[in-house]
Amino acid sequence: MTAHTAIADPPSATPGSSLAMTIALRELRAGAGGLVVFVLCIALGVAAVAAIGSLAAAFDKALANQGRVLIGGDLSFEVVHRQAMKEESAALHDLGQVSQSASFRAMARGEDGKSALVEVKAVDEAYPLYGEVNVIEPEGLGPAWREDGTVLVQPILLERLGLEIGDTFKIGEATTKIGGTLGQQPDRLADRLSYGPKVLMSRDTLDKTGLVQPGSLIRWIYRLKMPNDAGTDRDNLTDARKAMETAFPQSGFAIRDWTDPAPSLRRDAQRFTQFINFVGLTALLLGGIGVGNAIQSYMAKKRDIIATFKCLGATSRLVLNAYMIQATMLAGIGIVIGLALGALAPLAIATLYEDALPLPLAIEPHPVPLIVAALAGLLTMVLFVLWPLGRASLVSPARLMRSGLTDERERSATPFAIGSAAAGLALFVLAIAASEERLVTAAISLGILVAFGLLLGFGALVQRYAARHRRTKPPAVALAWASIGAPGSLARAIAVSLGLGLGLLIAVALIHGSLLTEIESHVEVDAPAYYFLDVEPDSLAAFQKTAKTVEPDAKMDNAPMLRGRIVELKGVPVDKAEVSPDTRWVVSGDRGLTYTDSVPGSSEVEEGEWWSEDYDGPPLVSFDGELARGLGLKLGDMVTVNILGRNVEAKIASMRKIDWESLAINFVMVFSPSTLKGAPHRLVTTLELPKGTPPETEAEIVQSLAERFPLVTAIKIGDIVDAARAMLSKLMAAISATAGFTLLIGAAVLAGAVSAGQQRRTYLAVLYKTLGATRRQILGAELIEFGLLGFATALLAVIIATVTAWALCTFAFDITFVFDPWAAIMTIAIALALVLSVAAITTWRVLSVKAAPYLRAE
Amino acid sequence: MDQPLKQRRAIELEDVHVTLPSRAGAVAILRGIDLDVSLGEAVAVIGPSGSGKSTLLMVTAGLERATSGRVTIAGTDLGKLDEDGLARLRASKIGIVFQSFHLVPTMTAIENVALPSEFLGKDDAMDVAREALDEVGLSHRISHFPGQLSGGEQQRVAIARALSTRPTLILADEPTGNLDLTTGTHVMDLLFALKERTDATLLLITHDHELATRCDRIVSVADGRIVDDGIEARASVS
Repeated sequence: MTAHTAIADPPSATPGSSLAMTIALRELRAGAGGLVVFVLCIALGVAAVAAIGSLAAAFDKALANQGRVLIGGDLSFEVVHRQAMKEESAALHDLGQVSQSASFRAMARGEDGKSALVEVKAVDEAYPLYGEVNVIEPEGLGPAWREDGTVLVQPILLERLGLEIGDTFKIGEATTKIGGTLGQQPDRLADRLSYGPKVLMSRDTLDKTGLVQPGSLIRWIYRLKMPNDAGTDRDNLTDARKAMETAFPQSGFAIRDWTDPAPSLRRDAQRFTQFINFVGLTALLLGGIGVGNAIQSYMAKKRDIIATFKCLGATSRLVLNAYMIQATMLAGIGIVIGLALGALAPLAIATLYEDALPLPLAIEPHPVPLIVAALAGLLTMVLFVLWPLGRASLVSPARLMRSGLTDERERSATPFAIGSAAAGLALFVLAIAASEERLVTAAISLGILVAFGLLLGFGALVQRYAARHRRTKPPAVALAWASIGAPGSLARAIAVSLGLGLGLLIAVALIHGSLLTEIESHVEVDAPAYYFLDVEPDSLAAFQKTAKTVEPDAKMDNAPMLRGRIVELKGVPVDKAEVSPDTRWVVSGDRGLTYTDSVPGSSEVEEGEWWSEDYDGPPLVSFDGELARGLGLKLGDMVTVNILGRNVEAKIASMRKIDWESLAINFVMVFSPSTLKGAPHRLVTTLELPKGTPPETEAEIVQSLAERFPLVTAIKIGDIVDAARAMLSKLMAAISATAGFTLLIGAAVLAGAVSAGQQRRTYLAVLYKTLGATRRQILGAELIEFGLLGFATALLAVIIATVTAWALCTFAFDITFVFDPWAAIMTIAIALALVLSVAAITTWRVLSVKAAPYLRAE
Repeated sequence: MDQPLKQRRAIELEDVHVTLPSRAGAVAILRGIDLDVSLGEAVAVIGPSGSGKSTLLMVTAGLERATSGRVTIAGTDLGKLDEDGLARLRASKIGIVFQSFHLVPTMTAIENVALPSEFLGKDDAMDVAREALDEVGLSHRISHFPGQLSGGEQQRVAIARALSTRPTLILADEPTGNLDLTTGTHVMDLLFALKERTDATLLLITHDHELATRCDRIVSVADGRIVDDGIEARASVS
């Protein structure tokens, strides 16, 4: 045996991921203080993206799952003004079981003379082919509408007419009995925008009303159920559609099938989703900033520990791995929480807003949006965590021997910056790939980055200004400025965390206010009080006389009215024609048409010439100039319109500029009289009353007309405006809610930033107390600091939002922008409330701390 | 020689106890301290680590409340003052010099020195600060931040801050602890000179026995008690 025992070689393996995991878990065992905000920010950001994606998927799935119920069949064939001809009906019956219904507006008149606009649906025995009609009261009623003369009505009609179940009211020439109250029905999405409560009746009852007249504005819908579930096969649907189009090329049927039951609703939902995607991306980015702040603060406390590890032999890679494992584990917790919240969003919305939704959402897991959200959360984490972790891992062990102010590192941290940038790029690509409107998403993403950059820059500017101008009185203000101007100032944190949410809120409020003002100003100044539909041409004189008997100064205007569908543009079928997205609505359904020998009021010819009074040549049409250009049309082009089952080809003789905002009678297409005069049609008439006409006079006119002309429908413009106003308010409320969510995340980010600086803040407060500052002076300094920053941020938000709202109102919506000072004041108040709440909590902690632990000699 | 009977006192500690809570239970830091310091006197407090010296200073400054007993500073019973009252007393009557300087890192030298005057609401705070910095020989560094000053300079700024309001009492807790020997000596020379010039009372916590002998009296503290109040030693010297 030798004097020195051979020493066994140390284990040759380099410490691997298991050691990194061990270190990570030991560190976490001591507590993840300060990383609660990290988890919260990831959770909220992921929740936003997951919720938006899940809602969109739930809506799409609902449309797909409920397609048959939503349109009431495998296919639906719709025409206006006329019923299907015998041959058309026979052909439909050859394809499967058919249910016919008629939808139109009419006046319901109570015994006491009260009247209300209603939306009537008259159905045959086969209805409904799919789904059920829900009767609210009495329970278990069954298909009472099939009884002759019995109707089901929506509850609100009972309120409006002061009626109960069992009472009677008149529609047209028929007296109907209220059998029960109507709930949800299948095929309700097929109904156009409704202005009145729904009434469900049978075809027999409809016949008794006398409302089915040549030219009446009635939509006839034929729903088809194919035998033996053949409708499940999309090829069969296409074949059926083609068969009808080939056999009856001029029928003018608008055909839909269950695979896309509500195209306009789907498009609207997509547009809304696109917008709130912006909120989701902002939430994610904000959350990422919170994550970055939290990890920087956490790692700042770990620098001595890391230096110690290195003194004992740890490599930078091991250190990086250990803390990356920690960050990934915590991010994982945040992602799981976020996914859970996001996945529950459709259920929450369906429960809370059941009545407001157009259809029940598909409440089931939607994996794709959740996977996208999880991936987005992970990439956000890497983007904001890699750089600070990387820098921290490079801390030199020499730090232990020198003052804590040194920032010495072993080597450059550039590779980590590149890694973070790569994660950011991947996030950008993911956002675009997961979106349907990629260009829009790319633009929105860049816009968000620019907005953040602006806010960061603003914060830095405020900090710099404060640093240069901090010598001021009284002491509380001086201390506040000093804190704003110091390194670690909250100026940037407050600007970034609150600026975007505040800006969004105020922009929405300003746009809402401008839209409402626009609507109201036109209604007050220009708009007629009523539109009357289905006035018999022969009854026009008597109609006008009845109104003027009550109010001699009443003004009445009228125009012939038919409905038709554009089927070709320049010889190209509309579904193949290239049109701008904002004019697609013109060719998507039927449009009101008229004829006249003179230029209609509230419009002027801007191109071409109006036909002479006695023109009797080939069909000519005058088109709305702006819409024509969007449809790719110019003077001389041919437009084919299907009217009453006949294709009419007309040449564009002139383009008009129309003042739609006057709400006077106007039409996209006006035909030369010889084109349509012979077609069965009725008139639309407007009634304008002198300013200050008492409501009783108005009611008397409407009642007189309703009694004398029971087949005429009265639409009160005020009700339409109210409905539009209500819809606008709902939409704006939904958008504001999403903006509020952004603010919520901003508050979390702010709380994190404040928490990160708490140690420094407390130390300074202790020092000031030691030097003689009273609590009031310290509290004053804190409140002034937060108040100044909150106010400055809110002011910037008001400016940016005002410019944005002005631009949108002027260039996108073409309305007058109106600045609402209350919106600005509310925004500033919200900002101050948020920051001062945070300040109060912060200061409470700071004031109650004992001085001794901070000041003791080492 | 007998003490003058009616000599006014800067510090009077009567049976002061300080007990602090800890996870292991209550810990007695000061266990019945009786200490009188006359106006204009310089008293050194020495003792081993953990003897309660710093706590003695904290209690005297009103930064720590005595659990029992009475603390009277320049005739004011600290027990009768609330937090703000203590803060105002510190601003007007007490100047404190710390081992770690405790300057506000984001304020310049002149701003740091002006703080106590500003807290007292004085309009000429900056002028007073300029004068104080001049007294400590740093008039050429008034716009520098602490991070730009050497340790000695930082401590001189701290001394200027402590003396700017002409306090009755200066409390110094290991003021040379973070300084090298030469710098520390210069700093203490300055402190004593200013003390004499302003006729302030000085309570000096120190490990340095040689430094302690520069004071009029040395008080020894051990285990939370005064084991020698230095009066006999002073009497024998005089």
